[in-house]
Amino acid sequence: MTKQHIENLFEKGLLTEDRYHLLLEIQSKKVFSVYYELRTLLYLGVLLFSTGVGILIYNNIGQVGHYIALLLLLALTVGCMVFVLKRQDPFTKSHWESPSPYFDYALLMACLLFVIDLGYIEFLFGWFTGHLSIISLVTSLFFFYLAYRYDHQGVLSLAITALASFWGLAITPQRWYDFDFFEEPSLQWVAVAFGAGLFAGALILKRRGIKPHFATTYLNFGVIIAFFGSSSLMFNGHEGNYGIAVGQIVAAAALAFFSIRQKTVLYIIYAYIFGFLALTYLLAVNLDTFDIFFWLFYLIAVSTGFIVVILKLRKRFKHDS
Amino acid sequence: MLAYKKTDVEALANWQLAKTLKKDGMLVDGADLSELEAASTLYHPGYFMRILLFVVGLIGVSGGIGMFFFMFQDALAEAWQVLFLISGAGLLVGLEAVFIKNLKHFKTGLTEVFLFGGLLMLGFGINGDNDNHLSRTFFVMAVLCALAAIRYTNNVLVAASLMFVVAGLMAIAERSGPMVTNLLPYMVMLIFSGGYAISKRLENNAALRIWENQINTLQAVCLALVYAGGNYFVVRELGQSLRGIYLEPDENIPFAWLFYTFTAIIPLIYLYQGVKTRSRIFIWMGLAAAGFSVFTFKYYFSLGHPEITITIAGVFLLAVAIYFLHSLKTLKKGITRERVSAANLDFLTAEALLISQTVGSTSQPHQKDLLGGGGFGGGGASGNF
Repeated sequence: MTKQHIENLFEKGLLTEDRYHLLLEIQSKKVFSVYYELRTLLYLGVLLFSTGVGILIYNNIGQVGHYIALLLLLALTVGCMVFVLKRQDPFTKSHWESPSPYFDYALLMACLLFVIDLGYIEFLFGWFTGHLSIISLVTSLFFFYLAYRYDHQGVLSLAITALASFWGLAITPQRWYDFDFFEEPSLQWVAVAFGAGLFAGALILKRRGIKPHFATTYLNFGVIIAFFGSSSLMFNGHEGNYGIAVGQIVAAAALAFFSIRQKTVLYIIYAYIFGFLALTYLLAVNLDTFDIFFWLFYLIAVSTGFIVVILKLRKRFKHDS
Repeated sequence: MLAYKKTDVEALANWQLAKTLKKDGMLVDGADLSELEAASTLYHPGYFMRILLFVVGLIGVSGGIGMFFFMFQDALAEAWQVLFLISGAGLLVGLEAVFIKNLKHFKTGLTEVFLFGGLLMLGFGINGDNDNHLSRTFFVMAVLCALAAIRYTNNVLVAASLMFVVAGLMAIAERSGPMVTNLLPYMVMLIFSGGYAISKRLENNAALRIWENQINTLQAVCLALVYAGGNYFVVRELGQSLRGIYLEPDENIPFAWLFYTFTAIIPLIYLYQGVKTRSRIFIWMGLAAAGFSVFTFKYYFSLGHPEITITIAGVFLLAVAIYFLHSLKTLKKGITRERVSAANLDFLTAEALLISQTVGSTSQPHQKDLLGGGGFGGGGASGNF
């Protein structure tokens, strides 16, 4: 943003005089916003602190002062929650601006500490042994409530992750690279169903107008989990792989159409990657050819064809710009 | 120098800024941007489209290069260097002729695939199979990247160009022995301080405003490299690998105290400078450098409890953030904790007007220009033709 740009907009009558002057003040740094800087510090602070405390307690487990540590931790969690609860605005279905700059971070801290609390209590008293999946479910429901009540997408992600672990799905980046994040094969179908469920749930909630801006988070989780599940089935399974590969191609095509209807390119990225993967798998298994010329031609043809089509459609993606 | 028409790039920038401001609610109600949109003829999609085109383009271009090498595989043994040079040049020509001249693509993801791919292939071709003149390759690449960065207004290539300069210096140091390796940190600090000084002069040049982002990138990377050149961890570890030696924990690098001082002081200087001159680049670089300095000192003087450090660092960051959020509740010397958007516009506007009346004699001339100037009424037409 340079002075000339602002002057140009003002000359075109797009800026009122007040705002024109304000923008000039911002451009010349007479008005200087440290909004993002301070928020980054808060966010890093919350992450570092909760991680540090988590490791601290884990490393010192079995030493004196357990109960004091637990009490301190609980007090901190409750403190954060009280801070959040003190600012009660009525629930709204649409987007809600948080009332104070600390609000979102206090809530996030409370949630991260809550998980550590549970782990610590489990270690000390063993109350939850044998019921760990129930604890995941309860945590998840609690986080879902908080996410909707206080409009927090970060807590929503935590809730979805907890819900996934209730179903036995571990969503950790380390296990993704080799399609091996399922402890047993049956979980792959669970992943597909869970992902599809998230997808459907997001669409229903969006249609009902309940926090429609949450939909993107749900859809991202849903699409990625479902496609990783089906890709894992495709590569690791024994029978019926063709069906799964064809199914993945059909799902990818459907997702691409959905993306076009939503006027965004985002889901086409997933659709292309996983559709391309399934198509390549199908060809590789069926054609059984090692002709380099064929495969190079295949790469060029598919990419070029796709680019030509997507550029033809480019006017439709209004939401991205 | 520019691959595009200057007016096209300007028109795009105007439209993009107007769109952002409209989203923030800064424009007048019902502002009509169709005129700006029509004036902007370059194709510059949003992030998702650029990611998609980059991924698909990368797959396709890899296939294309593979096909090219496959067709000339007989020549591969004797003249692979030539094949690399031809394919690199081919990608750049394709970029210019098809995507820029014909399809008017401006940073679409596809342009990046062809640009980076072309430069990479040229780099391999220039280097050949003789690693003895690695430094020459790096310096040639630095120049090529710099030229391409200017021609296509590309931030990544600004950074790449500077990294190639560093790589070239390192290659020289590696060949020339310990004497030069020991001098390398000072050279890096000196050269990129100079680079920063140059970028500072460029910044104020109105004729270069199309390259505003590239000049900012130049500043940021120069600051990062000056810090890296003085950072004890970088100097010690990189020095060891360049000289192919191993230092025992109780051995030290020459002038270790100096590098410890740099490591401690440079982040503070950056932060001070950032706050004093209200430079976002200095603030962010200062924060990042401070984090890396903590890591550096912990790495060599650790008491073996990283979790305590992490916890304390978290508390410290929270304390700093809360302190500033609290003290900037009201505007202090024009610094605000609020986002600049329509939501808190009244607050900001009132304050800004107050400032411009009390402090700002510099903003007065523009106001006078606009009120008195004749070009105001017909401004809509004069801007773009």
